[in-house]
Amino acid sequence: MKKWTKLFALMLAVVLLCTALSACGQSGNNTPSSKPNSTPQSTPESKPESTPESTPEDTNTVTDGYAYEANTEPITLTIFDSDPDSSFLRWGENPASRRTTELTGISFEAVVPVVDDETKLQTLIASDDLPDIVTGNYFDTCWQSMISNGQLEDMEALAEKYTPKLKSELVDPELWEYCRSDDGKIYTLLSCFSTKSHLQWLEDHNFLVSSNQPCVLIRQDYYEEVGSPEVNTPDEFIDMLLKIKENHPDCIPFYTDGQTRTGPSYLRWLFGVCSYYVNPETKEVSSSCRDPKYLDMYIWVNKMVKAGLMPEDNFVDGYEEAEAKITAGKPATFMSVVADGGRSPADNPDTIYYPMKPWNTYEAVRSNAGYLKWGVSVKASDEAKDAAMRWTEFANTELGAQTLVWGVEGPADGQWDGDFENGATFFFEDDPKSPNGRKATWYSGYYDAMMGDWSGVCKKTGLCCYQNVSLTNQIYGDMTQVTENDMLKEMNEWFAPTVRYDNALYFNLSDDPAVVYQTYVSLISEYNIKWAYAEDEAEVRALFDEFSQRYIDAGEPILNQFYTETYKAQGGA
Amino acid sequence: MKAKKVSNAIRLTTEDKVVNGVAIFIGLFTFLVTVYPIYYCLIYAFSDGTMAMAKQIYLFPTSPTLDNFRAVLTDKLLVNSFLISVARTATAVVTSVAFTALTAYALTRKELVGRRIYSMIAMFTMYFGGGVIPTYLLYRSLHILNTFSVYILPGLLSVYNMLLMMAFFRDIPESLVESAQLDGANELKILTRIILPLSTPILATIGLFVGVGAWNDWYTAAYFINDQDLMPMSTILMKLVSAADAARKAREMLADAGGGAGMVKKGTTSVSIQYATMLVSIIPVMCVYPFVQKYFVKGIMVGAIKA
Repeated sequence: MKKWTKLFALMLAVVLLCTALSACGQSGNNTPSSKPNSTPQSTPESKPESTPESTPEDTNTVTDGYAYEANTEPITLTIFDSDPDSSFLRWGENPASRRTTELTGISFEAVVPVVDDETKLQTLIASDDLPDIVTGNYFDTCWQSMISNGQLEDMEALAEKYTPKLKSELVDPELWEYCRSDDGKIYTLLSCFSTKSHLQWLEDHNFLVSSNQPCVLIRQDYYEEVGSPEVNTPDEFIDMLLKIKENHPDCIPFYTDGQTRTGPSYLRWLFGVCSYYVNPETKEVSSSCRDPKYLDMYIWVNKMVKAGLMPEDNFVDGYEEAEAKITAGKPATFMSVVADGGRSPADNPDTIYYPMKPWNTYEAVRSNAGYLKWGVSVKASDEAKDAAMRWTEFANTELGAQTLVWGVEGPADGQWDGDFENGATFFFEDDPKSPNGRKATWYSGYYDAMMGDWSGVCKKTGLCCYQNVSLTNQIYGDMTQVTENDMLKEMNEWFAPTVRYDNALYFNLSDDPAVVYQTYVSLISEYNIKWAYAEDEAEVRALFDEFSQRYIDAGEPILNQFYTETYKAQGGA
Repeated sequence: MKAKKVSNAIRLTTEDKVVNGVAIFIGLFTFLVTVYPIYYCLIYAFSDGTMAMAKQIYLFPTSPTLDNFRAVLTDKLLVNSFLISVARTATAVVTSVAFTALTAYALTRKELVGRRIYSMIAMFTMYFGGGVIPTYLLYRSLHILNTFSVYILPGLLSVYNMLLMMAFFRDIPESLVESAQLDGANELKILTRIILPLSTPILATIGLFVGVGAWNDWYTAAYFINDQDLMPMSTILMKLVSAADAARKAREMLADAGGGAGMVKKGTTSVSIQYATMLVSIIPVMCVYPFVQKYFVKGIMVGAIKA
């Protein structure tokens, strides 16, 4: 017994000593800040494995005089990414990140939330313990806190100090101005922002419509059974669905992919209802419900529900149920994006879902004003600020786009050999309308592999994993630039005439307008079902009047005033 | 002449039969609603993820496969997180039980000056907590953020467990302690030679409480650990679920990636991997639990009556 007691006491002492000492260890870098690496990251695993024709230096990229070339001292930056499965967690595990480190000396250590909320970031803000770079969704409410707390640097000043070419050459002035705050400083930069020149480039290359264009997809076997009728109006769509329902009484004639539980979502596009309504005469901006077409949309939804073409699945299903039903092939038609074109239902692998041509009421006013922000923390060391700007500069060059998005260059008549590490993934073709007079295009084999297993391929190559928090200028690095796809070409023919871009229609709400907006969202959620299940059109109209009055009482004019003023300030026509 | 068979069975009245029937029904129902979710995890984890999603499985796996487990067991991060979970649970059980025992014993001794004040301070922390941010600041000043210590040091003493243990210690006859003192034993000897050997039920109970708590705790790593190599399995599992949610939100917002021409996707999905990870993570607890559950019941009783 004595022996055991002594042994236990000894073990306890050792455990406690080790535990206490571990707090003093090197891994305890509790303050997420950068650290210059003492040695270059040149372990065998981290070396970029480039073939002779694939070394980035061999390409004819114009890179003279960039700051990232002048300083390639190894440094590790800490970065907050709001995605729990951030690719920055795997920095160094894929060729794209390894090549970036070799070219710039910059590596990353990610700080990510475990649950998809803002608590982690709020903790870091409140304890003034932000990492060197902070990234996040445009709508995250934390951004205003960071700015008002003085926790973010003026990125324009940093660019002038560390990376002059980022300001003067690489990033479109339109973006700098869009990101400028009321106090004249630029605390965050936005990715996925479509400048006028970028939109022009897209139009010139017939790529205005991307894979995220909302559309109705239809099972081709069912469609052919009813004679593949041309559908030009919402009522013709109803007629076609009634025929399909006769043939397949167990199917879901029309399915909204679990998106209409709390509002119309994608349905708006079918009726040309934008996220906001700009009155053509007064130019007053209001919520989409003020568009006269909004009521038409719900009258149509009500008609669909009454005819049994939109069963209750549309109003109760979540993402997983929707995925399960679409995978199983239950819906005859469903609302999604063109990227879903080509999916085969499990019950008939010989057919596919394919987008339908837009009806006469389809219209899309889009706002590609970016959706991811990133900024540099004031607590970052001088080296980290310098490196953060060099990273931004690098990512906005053609070489950066190549390293982070396009991959390894090959000959124009070549093809992808299936090698995710070193295989050439794209080629350049002459294109006078593109920067540097050439346009990158992925090899079709690589593109097909990407489409077959997007996340799997991205993880292996690292391509398309990092550009969202690095590329500001969408001409470099836009996936459409490297995509050559027959379906997308057809989609551009069908949908491009219905699409209009207005980047001024983007609002970051706070204070009273935010409160009114939340009430609006709640009201829509409540009436969404009421409108859908009303007895008839008259009841839909009566309910809409009731909703309308409640919205006014909740403070609609406050929100409208905010929208209108902001829209004008953002250059809205 | 054949002897008459005499039945020893108790003759059940109609009322008995009805009561038995109801009891069996309730028992079966309870069994079903508690076991079926685990069974569902099991059949989903052994199914092809996409096919399980498409066919809506209920009783048997569809397109049986071990791919989900292969994905879990070949993921370095998940394997490492399993080891971290084992290490932190084992360490937490040993250290927490030891500290709680030491503190509880001291606070039961009348000779301890100011024990009421100590008890009141301890009780205060049961009802009032600082919240995440003050806790974060405290840990930062203690330099335990992003270290293994953050799993152990803050959990060394649980006031609730301490109260349970104090209640148990008070039940041990004081005469035992007095006789040991007469024999010249000091406090440490009394604790280790007399009190602890007599308190194995409460030690096991509290060890179980701490162990289950440490195994299931995802929260600590979520807010106080950044290093992926220090994440326990529960946190990784939570992250898997959150990453799926985040991907779903991103899809709703951006809808910029996905399907391709003429494909039927097959293979693992985030849901099927979640179920496989859940199974892997509950297996150790399921193996240990049957051996210690009697202590768990005792511990609950101690807490209910004495604390």
